[in-house]
Amino acid sequence: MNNSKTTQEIEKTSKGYIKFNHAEEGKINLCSGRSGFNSLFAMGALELTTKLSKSGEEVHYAYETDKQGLDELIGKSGEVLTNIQEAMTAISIIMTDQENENIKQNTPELAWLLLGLNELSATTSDNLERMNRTMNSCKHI
Amino acid sequence: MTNKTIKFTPAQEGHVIANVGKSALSNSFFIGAMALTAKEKIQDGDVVYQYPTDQAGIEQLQLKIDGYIESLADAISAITVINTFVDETEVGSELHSINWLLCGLSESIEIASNQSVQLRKAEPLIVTEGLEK
Repeated sequence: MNNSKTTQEIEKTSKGYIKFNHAEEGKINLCSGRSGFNSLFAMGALELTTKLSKSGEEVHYAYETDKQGLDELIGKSGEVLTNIQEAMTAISIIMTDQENENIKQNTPELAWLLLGLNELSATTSDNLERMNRTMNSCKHI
Repeated sequence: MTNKTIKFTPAQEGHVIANVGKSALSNSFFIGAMALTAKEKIQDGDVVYQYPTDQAGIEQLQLKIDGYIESLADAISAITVINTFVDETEVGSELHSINWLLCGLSESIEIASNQSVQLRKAEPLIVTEGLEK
């Protein structure tokens, strides 16, 4: 019984976590929020600590996580990318109603938000593509 | 650190580009990288957070987090006003996406605020040019 409890506790503790060599405890939580936005922070941590190497014409990326971690981050990043793109579409549609005084008054803030989401979307998309390529090659992870 | 880079020891070159985009949201990756590589240390009974950068890097991080929080707060405020006054019969399906965005921005602002508090007890791991603690 005790062994079973211990296993459950371990599963509960590690659920949602991925390996990250530079983190305090060697892992980071991908599931601390409901929107998936926190995966952007994890993606940033992995992206900015990735080591690039070249062999001939090929470029390899060594991520500070394992294959499972990369796989989970790919999944989360895909979800958040979809959320961001849907939100951008929604904001753009709403902004077209410039006869609505409340929308008109908030146009500068919405435009800045659109720019931010656009930049996030572009960076996330680039990273996602790179992570997918690394997963497919399964090298240097 | 130069005007264009910030020291970050886990990076390949030991530094990262300071400004990757025009909006505050584009700093999400940098803030995340710093937050998730900081180490806790007990010093004289208090918790101190050590960041893998120098003092200038910590100051840059603080500025970026301040701008990030301000920008997200502006966005949340604008979206909330829209949610209140928009004609639901015309944009009903878009509101679902907008509400998920609100959730995401709120969660991001919470993480950034926690980082801002943590930065008050921060110290750099690089104390002298080229030397790591």
